[in-house]
Amino acid sequence: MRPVAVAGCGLTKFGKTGKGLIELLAEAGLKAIEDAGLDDAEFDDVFVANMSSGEFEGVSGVANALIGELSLEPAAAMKIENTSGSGGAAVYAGWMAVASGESELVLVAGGERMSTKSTGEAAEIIASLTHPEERIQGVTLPSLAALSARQYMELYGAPREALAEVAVKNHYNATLNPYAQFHKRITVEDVLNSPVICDPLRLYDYCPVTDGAAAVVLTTLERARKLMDRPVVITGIGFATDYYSIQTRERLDEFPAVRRAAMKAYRMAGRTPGDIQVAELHDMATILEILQYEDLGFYPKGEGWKAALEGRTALDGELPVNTSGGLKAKGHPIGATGVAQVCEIFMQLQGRCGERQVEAERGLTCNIAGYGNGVIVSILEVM
Amino acid sequence: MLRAYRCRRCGHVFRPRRLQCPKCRGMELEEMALRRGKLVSYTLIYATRPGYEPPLTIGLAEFENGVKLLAQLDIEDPELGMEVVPVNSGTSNEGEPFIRLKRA
Repeated sequence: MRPVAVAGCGLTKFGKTGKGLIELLAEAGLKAIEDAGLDDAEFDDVFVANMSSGEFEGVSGVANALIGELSLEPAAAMKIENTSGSGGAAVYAGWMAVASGESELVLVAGGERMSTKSTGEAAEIIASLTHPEERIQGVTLPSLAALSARQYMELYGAPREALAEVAVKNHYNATLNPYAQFHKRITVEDVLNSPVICDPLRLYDYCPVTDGAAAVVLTTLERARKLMDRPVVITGIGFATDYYSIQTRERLDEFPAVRRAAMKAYRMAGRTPGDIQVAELHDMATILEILQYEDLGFYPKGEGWKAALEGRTALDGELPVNTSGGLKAKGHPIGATGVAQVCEIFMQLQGRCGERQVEAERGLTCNIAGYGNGVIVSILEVM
Repeated sequence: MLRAYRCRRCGHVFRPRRLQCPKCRGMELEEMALRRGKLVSYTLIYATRPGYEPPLTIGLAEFENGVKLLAQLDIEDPELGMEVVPVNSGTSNEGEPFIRLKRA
């Protein structure tokens, strides 16, 4: 396998934009291509990450539509649907294409336009990924996070405030990210006084409904060296799945697929959790960020909440997590998220993050499909 | 009746039903009834999906062999660790027979 580098990235502003999905994807895609300085280059593949263009916007064939907007014919193009892990899955596909030697230049673009629907309708569309037996009971993805939160707090004595601190941190980080949906600092009291969504979790524990797109250009390390001074290589990547029904899983206070995907990525990169200096994690709900601290090996089982409470993962902490603002405050346009995570780590490693810049030469992304149904972990390093 | 499935090849017990045993991919499965479990988590959903009245209480119960059921609770004041039993209770929004959890 040959090394695969990120040659450029592009993001749209996240939020309620009024723009259509194809327009968002084209904006992010064009920015990534220009960022790489490859305006006239011929692309081999285009992988488009998206969950529900049909349900949200009545559109299918989004990969071909994007190819048309960017005049990238006759590149191979396909949509990759893996629910909230679509972005990570598309990065995985792009990585395989280049690593295998088959492709030299790949565009990975992810996007979702969700504001066409009410929050309830969006919850219904997203809940279509759950096991039918669970779906008819009325579950929502946020309700599953609440089940994890209650079990975790009970088992490990985690205080409610520790979860709130994740939201406070990520909102603060988002104020320094021009692409983020929210630019509003919040306090622990704001979180604890916000409306209950799924007891014990409240409005500010959850990511919002968001429109947006993100894109990266992947190529060989050799070609990336000609394009930039500090090439960033995907040195490790792992993808693992777990049982479709959450009832078949042993417990809800951990995600075995995060552990397995991370193990593959660490092994490929020849790294350990202690080597990671910045991370973008899948904080669909505050509790999930804490569970990932543990399943990724950053902190011991049952102690992730302490890291949140003590500010260890803040911008000025020992391991800054979700410098972008995360899903929580940057926003979670479903198909875009896994790609946007790679954009943030790429920009951090290149020193392009302005006020939210941290010192790092190695970063990690963790993108979760469904409720831990599938997980993609990537490790990126400056070469 | 709440059913679990025992794999005749490796003895693993699981639910809900799937084509093959999640441990050994054995395909000969026998049904067994689940009677009494313990509540391991629950939530009151205020932001419900269309067609579900808030607050909707759902819980996760663990039965013998670690088998679990995620279901609506017909329990006023749920507590972690309380004993629960599955009961046939009305129909789902799609009109199918529906299992809820009650206090044991």
